[in-house]
Amino acid sequence: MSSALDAIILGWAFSALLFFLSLWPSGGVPHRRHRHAAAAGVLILTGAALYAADVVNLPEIVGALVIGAAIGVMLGRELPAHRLTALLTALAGLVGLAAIAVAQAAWLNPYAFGLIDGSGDRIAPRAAIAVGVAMLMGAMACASGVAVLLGPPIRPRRGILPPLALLAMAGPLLGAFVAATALPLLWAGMAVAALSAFLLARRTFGAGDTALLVLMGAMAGWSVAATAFLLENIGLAVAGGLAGSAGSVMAMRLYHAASGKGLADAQRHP
Amino acid sequence: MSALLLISFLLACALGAVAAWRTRLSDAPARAGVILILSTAIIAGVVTVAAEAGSPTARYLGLFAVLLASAALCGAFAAVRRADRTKPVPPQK
Repeated sequence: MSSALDAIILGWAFSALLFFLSLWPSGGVPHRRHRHAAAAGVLILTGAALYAADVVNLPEIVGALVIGAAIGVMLGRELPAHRLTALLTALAGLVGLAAIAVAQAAWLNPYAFGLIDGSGDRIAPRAAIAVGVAMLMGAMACASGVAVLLGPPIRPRRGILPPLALLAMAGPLLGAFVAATALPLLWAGMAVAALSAFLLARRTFGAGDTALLVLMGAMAGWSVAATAFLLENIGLAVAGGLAGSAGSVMAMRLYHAASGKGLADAQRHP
Repeated sequence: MSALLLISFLLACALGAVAAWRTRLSDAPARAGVILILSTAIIAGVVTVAAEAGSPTARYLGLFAVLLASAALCGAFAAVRRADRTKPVPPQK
């Protein structure tokens, strides 16, 4: 058991290093190498997760992996080039949907993932917070994916404060869910968060495709980080933290850069 | 384990913010692809959950999540590669 744990921690550390190197700006290194480092880190992390888990239904998992990979490669290679940004944002939405499904599956099977409080039959508050945040962030990523697929708004508006104020209203609902552990409260919070993310994505259209993509990557990254706290996976926490914070900071920079140029210039390159 | 998890997460947040702050805006499209690939790391968590087949609903939810995460990883890698090739970056000084 000890050697298995050591191997898993080694895998986590190596993938965390690759994640860090993939994101750190480094002079003349080609983008291809950053991309490959990130993908290699994800594959190492998946290998460590499969090694750590006591897998009972490996054929089904491998089947789902192969079918999903086939769908993904087909979409990525065959879609027309001008739809690539929409495809990338939709894939970030898929990550959010996967986070929702994971949190729901862990909630349905609390004894397997150590979500139960040590004293009794109750879900531990730590696990309830992780499930809640993972589902809220997943709903946000999904909703902004839908907003991007619907296309730019006819009458664009600026200002991100109203959506953020709406998002703050999801906080008390999350608190009530943690206190009562009743899923309907969380669903209400998810609806509020999804609406705020939808509005936020529509208002980010003016800042350009890259800002939208980075914003959605950040939302998906925060949902990954919450899932990591749910499953206590350090490599996943590093990936989620890096993606979430880097995406948020970069989206803020791009949004401000577009605001500085003025509305007319920003609209010329939607 | 829990303290180590929290420390790693906070360190990753700080390093990610600094990295995003130091990146030039002309490199932002390439970094957006990397951020997307990083967020598809959820496939590791998905595999962990799908391996524990507790109830039929949880099992099918886990398999559905495996399908979605696998599609996101492979699709993101293929699409980011294509986007990088179709829009060559200007030579850096």
